[in-house]
Amino acid sequence: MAEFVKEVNAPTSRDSAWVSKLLGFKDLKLLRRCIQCGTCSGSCGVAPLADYTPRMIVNLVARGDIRPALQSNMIFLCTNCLACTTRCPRGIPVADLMMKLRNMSIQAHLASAEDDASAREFVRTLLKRGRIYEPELMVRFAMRTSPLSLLGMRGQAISLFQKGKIGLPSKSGTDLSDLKKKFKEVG
Amino acid sequence: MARTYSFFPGCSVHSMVIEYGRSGLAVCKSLGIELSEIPDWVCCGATPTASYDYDISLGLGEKNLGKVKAGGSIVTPCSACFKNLKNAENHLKENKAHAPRVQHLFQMIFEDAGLDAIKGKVTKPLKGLKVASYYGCLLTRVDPSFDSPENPRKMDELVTALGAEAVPFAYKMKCCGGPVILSKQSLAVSLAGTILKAAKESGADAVVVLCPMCGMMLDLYQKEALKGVKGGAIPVVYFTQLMALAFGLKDDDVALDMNFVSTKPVIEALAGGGR
Repeated sequence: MAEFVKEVNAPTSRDSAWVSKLLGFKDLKLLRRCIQCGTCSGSCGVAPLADYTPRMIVNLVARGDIRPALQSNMIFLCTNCLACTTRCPRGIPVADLMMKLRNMSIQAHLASAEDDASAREFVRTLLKRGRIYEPELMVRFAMRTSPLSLLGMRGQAISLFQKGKIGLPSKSGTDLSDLKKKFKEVG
Repeated sequence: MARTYSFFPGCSVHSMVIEYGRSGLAVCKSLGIELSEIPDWVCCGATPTASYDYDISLGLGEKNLGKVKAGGSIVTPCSACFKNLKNAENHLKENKAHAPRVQHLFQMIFEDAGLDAIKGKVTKPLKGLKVASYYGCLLTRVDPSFDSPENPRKMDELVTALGAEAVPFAYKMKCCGGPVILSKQSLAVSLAGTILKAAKESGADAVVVLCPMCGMMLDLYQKEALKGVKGGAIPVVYFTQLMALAFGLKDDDVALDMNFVSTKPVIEALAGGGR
């Protein structure tokens, strides 16, 4: 992974060779089918809040300008609802592209503390027992971002507790050592 | 002759959405379907794992599918789990490997049990109840062969078969915000608020959901989501709860006391049925 981090951090390059290597040649070829119609942006529930809309993200990546795409707030605003992918008249998996860019942004340490922690601490919590234990995830996330944010969750915590919906963590016996190793490698 | 399916519960039906799990199992049982929980299932990874590293997300899905024999079926009540398991199914099939068929619980009940069998089980039709069917964003976009990814109808058909009325609901596929609740709480809550406001305006007595993430956003976060909005709260119930109610199953299986927002309006609408 380190090799792409160096390239991402190099001055903007229009050379798309490494972009295509990263995204996969087939993916890049797909992106070049984009006709910039904007159906993706028009279908997107969060695009009005974005610096670059989905249409612009596709355009940036297709022409090899990946750094602004990786630093865009769009890729983390995306809820992966698949509206863009479903409606794209050119068959471009726009939502998958957002996820790929997210992977790259987190791994190149370009993501914000919240965006990084919400993904990283989720995977860490998951790999511990093979299942998610929400109270633990909330605390881990808050410790990485702002411990005070736990106060903002007290309403939900009280509701859950009152309904008897916070139990003990459960554990899966499945061997996850290969994925734990992968988690370490990704870094 | 009970049909048995491998059941992938996901991380929430045993805790945060007990009402969905309980009513789902009970409804299946009365339809002659047995859900047998996959031993040692692992979390599907939800959205954050795919955000972090797509290969880990895929790896989790494949571990789960590997626990079910090829040619079998795996059923999950959660749309996020459904998406991740389906991704793994598609990935395995692209590589010419055997994979069990992944189905959403709603899809399985609709396709394999069928509306006629469901109608046959209704002993207490939900007359007088008006509901907004909220499909959520993923179900039909992950598997468009099941229902339209633009204007799905099958949930409306189900609630109508139960005797309730499905109101026209334009926000039936807008994202609830669930996937970004951890990283962008205020955005997620505002997305949920848009859906809830539209549901209130539609004249429905309740919103019906089929995914624990949607349920969490619309029910657990409703107070914040409807802050400053006129009028009262709107109950959010799982489709299996409505089925259990219409089948006349015992209160414990309907579990209407486990939802966060009071579900009294649902019962009241029934009592005043035929208004």
